[in-house]
Amino acid sequence: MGAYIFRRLLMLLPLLVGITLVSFLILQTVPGDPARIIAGMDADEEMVQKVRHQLGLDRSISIQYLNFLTNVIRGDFGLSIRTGHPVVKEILPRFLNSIRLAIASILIALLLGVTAGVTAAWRQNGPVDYGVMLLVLLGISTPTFWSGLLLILIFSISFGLLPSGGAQGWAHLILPAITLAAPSAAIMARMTRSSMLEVLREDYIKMARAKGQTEFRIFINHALRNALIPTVTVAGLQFGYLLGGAVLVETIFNWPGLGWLIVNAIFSRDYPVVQAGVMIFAFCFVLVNLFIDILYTLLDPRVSYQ
Amino acid sequence: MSIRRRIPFLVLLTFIFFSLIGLTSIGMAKEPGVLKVAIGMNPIRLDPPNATGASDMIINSHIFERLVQVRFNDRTKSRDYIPVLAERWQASSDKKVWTFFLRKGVKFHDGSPFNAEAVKVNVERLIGPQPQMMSKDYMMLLDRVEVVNEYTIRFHCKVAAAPFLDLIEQSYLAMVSPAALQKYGKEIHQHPVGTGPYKFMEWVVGQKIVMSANKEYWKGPPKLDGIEILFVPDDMARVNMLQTGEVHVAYNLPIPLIDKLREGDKIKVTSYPTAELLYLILNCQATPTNDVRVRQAIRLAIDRRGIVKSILRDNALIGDSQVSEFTFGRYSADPVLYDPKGVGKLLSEAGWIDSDGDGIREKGGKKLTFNIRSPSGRYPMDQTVVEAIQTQLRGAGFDAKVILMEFGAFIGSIYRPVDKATGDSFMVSWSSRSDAWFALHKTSHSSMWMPAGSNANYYKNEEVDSLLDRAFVEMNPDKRWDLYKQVQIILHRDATSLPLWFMNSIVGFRKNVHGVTTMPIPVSDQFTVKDAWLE
Repeated sequence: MGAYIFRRLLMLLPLLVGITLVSFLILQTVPGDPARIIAGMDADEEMVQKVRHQLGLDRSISIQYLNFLTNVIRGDFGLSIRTGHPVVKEILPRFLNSIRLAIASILIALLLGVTAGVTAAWRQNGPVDYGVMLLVLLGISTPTFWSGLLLILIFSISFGLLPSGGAQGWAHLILPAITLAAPSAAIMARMTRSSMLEVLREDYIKMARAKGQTEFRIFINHALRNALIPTVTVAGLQFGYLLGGAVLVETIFNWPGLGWLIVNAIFSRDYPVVQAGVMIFAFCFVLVNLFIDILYTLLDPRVSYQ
Repeated sequence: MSIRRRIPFLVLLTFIFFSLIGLTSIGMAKEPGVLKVAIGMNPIRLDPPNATGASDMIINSHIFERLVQVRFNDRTKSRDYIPVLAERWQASSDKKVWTFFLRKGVKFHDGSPFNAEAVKVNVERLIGPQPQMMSKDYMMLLDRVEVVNEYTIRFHCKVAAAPFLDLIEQSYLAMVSPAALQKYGKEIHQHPVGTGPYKFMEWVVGQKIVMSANKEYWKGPPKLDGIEILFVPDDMARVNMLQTGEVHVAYNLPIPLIDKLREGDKIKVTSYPTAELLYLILNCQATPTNDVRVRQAIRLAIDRRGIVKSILRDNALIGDSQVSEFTFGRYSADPVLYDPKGVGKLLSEAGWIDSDGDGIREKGGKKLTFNIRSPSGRYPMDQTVVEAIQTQLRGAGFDAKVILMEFGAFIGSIYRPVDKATGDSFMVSWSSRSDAWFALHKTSHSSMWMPAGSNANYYKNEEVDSLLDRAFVEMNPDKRWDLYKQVQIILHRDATSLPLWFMNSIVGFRKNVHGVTTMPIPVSDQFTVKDAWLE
């Protein structure tokens, strides 16, 4: 197991290098000059040249890339072109914010999704099932920018219960986490329902019934545990999405997360920030996948890695 | 593995989650006397000579001060120079040497004294061997600064410039503590230390800037205990936070929501004009806009009054000149006509005729077509506005194509030498500040062709060049005003670019907030809460 994890982590290195190369090249093809953007409308060409030189943007692309890579190996992601702050200082607080939001959302999504899926499977084709599946459909098809605004309208503006934006504390986390969790919860509910239905047809469930176990134990201990593997896989993928794809929710709730930072960095051609951000995302994705693979062994003792 | 053996693992996971959440303070702390302000953009550099964005300027205006500050006097309809860190000043008879007598007993926030030596350090950041970014071309006229005694400083100019005080007054010459410059070096833009009413305390990257009252401020301590400036990029989010009371003030509100916000009894919205002109750059070297009749026709084909009324709901002042009402040297040569018939006459004269009946005019087998590039989400209602312009131009026989761009790519496509220019038109903004020189020189003088300056029309007229050069050194204000007037008459005749409108500064605040100010000039004080207080 240890050797397996080590191997997987080692495979990260070429992956990360590949990702930086691709994102670096893509950024080079986008029109727009960061030096001009920084110097502003007022500056003359000489000033822009000076800025370009200060930022090392007048060197060849391959040299720029190699410089970037060697610095990253030394743990230095450089300075943000736009703000002049160290990239690490720009990214870290936002990354923690993104993680907080993603973890809260995935917990909410798992809780709601699995509960809804199990409930629907328990009363298959009954009114409860249809009711739950209708909610699921709503969850999947409502865009977050709309449901988010709706929640703000109800809970912040009408009742004044929760703050509408910012990331100061607990209260600020609730609305964005719920908004972000809704589509994921819906997907997980569907997943749980269908795999539950599949598992419930298995022989060992009949066996458990024959033994005279209570329905609750059959559902939770026998069926759910076996049905969870696909749900956990989806949860892993969703986590990656929640981490990076939350730009809309971050915008509506003014949540200072990483997705929003990267979108802005792209707009201002802030290459170092984009690079570092993309690397962090890639790193998280791979780590989450690894974590999910390990989780399989906990859920299903038959799965093991060498 | 049994469930029991997994419990520690789950406990660990839960612990990690809660500790991550616990990293930030809990709940919404409500401190009395702290004003919360939401602005739309993150600041970039809190160092006056290197500040570029509006958010930098808004924050800097609370922390830093300059020697003198210009202000538009509503009563006299002219500009006043207000002594700030300089108590008074004196110019030599040839106007090449300016002596400033500094305010005594002023201290920077770090305790170091403000004196002539500090002024010298700040000026030399701009004219020294390694000048800071924004400053160079405006400060070219300075030769050196001389410390006369502790509270007297002398500026020696290479040329006698008529708008000298307007150049000195610019926000890049706000005074930064020399001790802080030494201490923070290249990171000074993250540690602003000035003499202003509020002290910089903390910059939570991507979230807010915290300032506290400078109790030793030379005008007396400010009325608030502190100010928090929150960065809220989304228009709707700013409106929401203002409505819920999470912030007291929100800058730059979306025009369609103003009326709705005014309905309640808790929020006040002000909308005042600025000197910031939105205009359409027309390329004077590329077809079809190199023909002055085509440019004049474009001007007549666009219903500026109609757009200001119906789309901007009167939250703008018609652009009847390049120079704003608040600027010295303004003359309106433009009657702002909307005349579709006149368009037809001009275009037919120029040889553009719709011969195939498709509504678009042609000449020599080529259609009357040009591109308008506009950033999206940068100026109030920019997308709607540029589409309205497109529709009106089409009605007049132009096939105008709109290219909406993200701002970075947009300015990349403007700043090109003439041989690499796109030939397109651009919708951009420009502030005329306190003197017509700012509005006209960089955008119309032929030495200022892109990328040397900001003449993106590639307009060249020797008469305009000479009038502008003369105006820069003309000391008699009436004569100078007349020179600028002549320039504006020629620019209108040649229709070099099309002034659309001067954009308003729109601020919403809770009714318990007083003293929120918006000023047309200077640019740095377009919006400030430094004199605000809470009821």
